[in-house]
Amino acid sequence: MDYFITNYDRIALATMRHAQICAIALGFALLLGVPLGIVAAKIRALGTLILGTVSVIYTIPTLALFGLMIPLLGIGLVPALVAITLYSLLPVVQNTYTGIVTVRPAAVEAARGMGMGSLQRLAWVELPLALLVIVAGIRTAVVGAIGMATLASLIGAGGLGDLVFRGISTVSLNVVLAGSIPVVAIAVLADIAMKWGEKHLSLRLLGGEAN
Amino acid sequence: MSLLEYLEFFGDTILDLTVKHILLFGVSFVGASLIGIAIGIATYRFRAMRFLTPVVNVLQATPEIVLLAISIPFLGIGYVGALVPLFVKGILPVMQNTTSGLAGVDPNIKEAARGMGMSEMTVLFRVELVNAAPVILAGMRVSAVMLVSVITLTAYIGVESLGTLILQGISRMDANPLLIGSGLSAFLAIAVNQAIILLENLTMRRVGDRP
Repeated sequence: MDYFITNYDRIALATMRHAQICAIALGFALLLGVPLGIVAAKIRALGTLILGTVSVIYTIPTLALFGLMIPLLGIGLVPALVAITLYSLLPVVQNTYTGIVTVRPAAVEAARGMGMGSLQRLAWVELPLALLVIVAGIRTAVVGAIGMATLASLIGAGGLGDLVFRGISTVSLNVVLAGSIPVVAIAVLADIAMKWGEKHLSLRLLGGEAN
Repeated sequence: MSLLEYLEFFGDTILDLTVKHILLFGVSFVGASLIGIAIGIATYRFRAMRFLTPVVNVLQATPEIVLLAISIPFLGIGYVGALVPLFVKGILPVMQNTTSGLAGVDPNIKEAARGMGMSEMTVLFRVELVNAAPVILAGMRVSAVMLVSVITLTAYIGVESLGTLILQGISRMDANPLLIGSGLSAFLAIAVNQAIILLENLTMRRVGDRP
């Protein structure tokens, strides 16, 4: 406990850094993943390729993915961000794809009947109806990224992993816990917050009615 | 040293580490699957087991490296310290899918089985579990891919696996062990994933279109 109090500032800094890494990587994953998911849903031929590629990346062990970054991009923040972004792609792409593909055909038909073009249908009908599924994918990505960012410390990107690994190498439970407790707390809180958000979103979008 | 020279020089070590990785995977996968299915059946049958849900949620959000790090002070370094966190992480997806798979079995099929004079145990083993098999296998696949990945991390707590090579590569900034360790573990994960997908498709065909 004393360790927490005396090293308060160090833990806070590491937590900030950890959150920063996750936020940037998730931002990129969203910017890349949602359009990829849309393309996969719209163009069948590319769909198999895109979904296959992201799921193979997701299967690669996280440590191996970080390891493979070193010969390509060296060490530091950039390779860590690339690895976490790549890893977070699957839940985002997959859920965007599933969300759009499972929109009721009747809703799309109705939009077409109202004279909407394909882009308008996408923006006003398909994406809003798929939003819940997409958000669920983002939640998976967020929790995964927070855990994975712990390993980012191995390639010199900092974060709470610094404390965890220092604790392991000095066999000091206090240091391990100083790194671990904030990681678990952020992950659990993010999960709960996103679930709460999903519930409210579904009430707003569907008024309690199932899609 | 070129990659080929490295392979020639350390071929035996690489083979040894690969075998250790696969053995560790086999033990943890079989153990985690059996325990996961057992707990999954228990949670489905007895409402009292629902108290596990929040525990599972927190454990699921806990990064693997954190579980490994925390287990050191209690279980020491080496196989015991590695296997317990592996089991804990591996059990979760199997258990969740067993519970939801069993809950998703068509009540009419169960009724029909009881009407044929089957005992509760026979219904469970010959009807419910068989029908839930594709869902349970999907959970086992998630667990298997994760285990291959987590085993690379056990190198940090003194267990030899392909992770040992990745670790050496990172600390010596040597691309050879990095590429070999990362490549082999990634290949192993992808192979295990594909093998279980094949099994899922086979059981799906046997169970037919029923949910």
